[in-house]
Amino acid sequence: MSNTQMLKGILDGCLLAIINEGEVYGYELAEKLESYGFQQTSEGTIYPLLIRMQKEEMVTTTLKKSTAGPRRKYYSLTPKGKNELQAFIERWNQLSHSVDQILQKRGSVK
Amino acid sequence: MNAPKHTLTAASQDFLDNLSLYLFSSGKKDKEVKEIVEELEDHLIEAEKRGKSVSHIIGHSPKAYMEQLSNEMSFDFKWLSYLPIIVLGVFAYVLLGDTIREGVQFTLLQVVGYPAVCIILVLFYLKMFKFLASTKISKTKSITTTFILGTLPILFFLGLMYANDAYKTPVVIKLGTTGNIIAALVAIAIFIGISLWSKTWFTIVIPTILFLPEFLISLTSFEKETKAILTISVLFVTLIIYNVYTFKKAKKET
Repeated sequence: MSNTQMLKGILDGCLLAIINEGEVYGYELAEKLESYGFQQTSEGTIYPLLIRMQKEEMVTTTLKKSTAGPRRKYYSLTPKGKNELQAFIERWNQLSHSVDQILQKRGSVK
Repeated sequence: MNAPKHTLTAASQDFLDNLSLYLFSSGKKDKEVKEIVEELEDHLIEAEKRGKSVSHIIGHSPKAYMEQLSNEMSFDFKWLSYLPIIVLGVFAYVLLGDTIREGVQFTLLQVVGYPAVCIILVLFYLKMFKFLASTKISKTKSITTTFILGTLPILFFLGLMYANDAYKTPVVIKLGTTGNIIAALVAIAIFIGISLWSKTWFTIVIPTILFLPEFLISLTSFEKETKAILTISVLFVTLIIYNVYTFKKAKKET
């Protein structure tokens, strides 16, 4: 299984979590994601996800002027997005707990 | 546009242009296309300032990335309404030409053929734009393709003309004097209507250049040959004047 397949779905939750820290724009979001160790995914991957999250009303956007270049789109979470983040955290905790347990019991690859 | 702007590298600008064309020919909503292109432009500017390449942003397949974006965006049903309008435009054009010359007379083949050719051409163009936007081809190849795409409508309509001569299908519409005047008025109304709808002068200027001199010359009492020569020369001169004018105007704007 490739990294990208494994990341699908998880990336959504991570984006929600980062946006929850405060209003961000696309480039900033990609940079933050990278700083947490998501280096293999190309930066543009976030945009299709952001478009979907906007359609599903998880995030809202506001356009602000930037000094050099086009207007900048800032993302923030909606109440629906916050609920989804909460649900993601619970799902993730459960999943990572189970995966941890299996890996620890079965031990390392011999 | 606001003044001091970071200029993107050719590779990035190419990608943005191709993305617009790809999404546009996939029938995505105008506003959504503009938004995502603007957002990626901002991202690419920031990334280039830090020395990152396009492939760092979009991955190694521009086509796959364009598809990913396209899949999340909504189809604009407004595009479907363009088809009948283009058909209507061509219809008005043919109609007006006929009223000036030999009078309106359509065979069954023409009645079916004109709309069919328009629809085939439009669908084909959309497919080709989408293909060209997402595929890398050499300069010579893209010039050849553009040339072929440009001559295609002429070939189709000439083909229809010849087919109409070769296969005699029954005449289904034939108008008398009053009918022709009404037809001309309808055609002019369609041109004005499309012009208002599209908010461009194009569908008024082009038919005027093409038909007004011919119409005025047909009213004179010159010999048939003189009329033909006059029509062609006037057409030639006005088209050149119009081209120079639009070229100068476009240059002024940039």
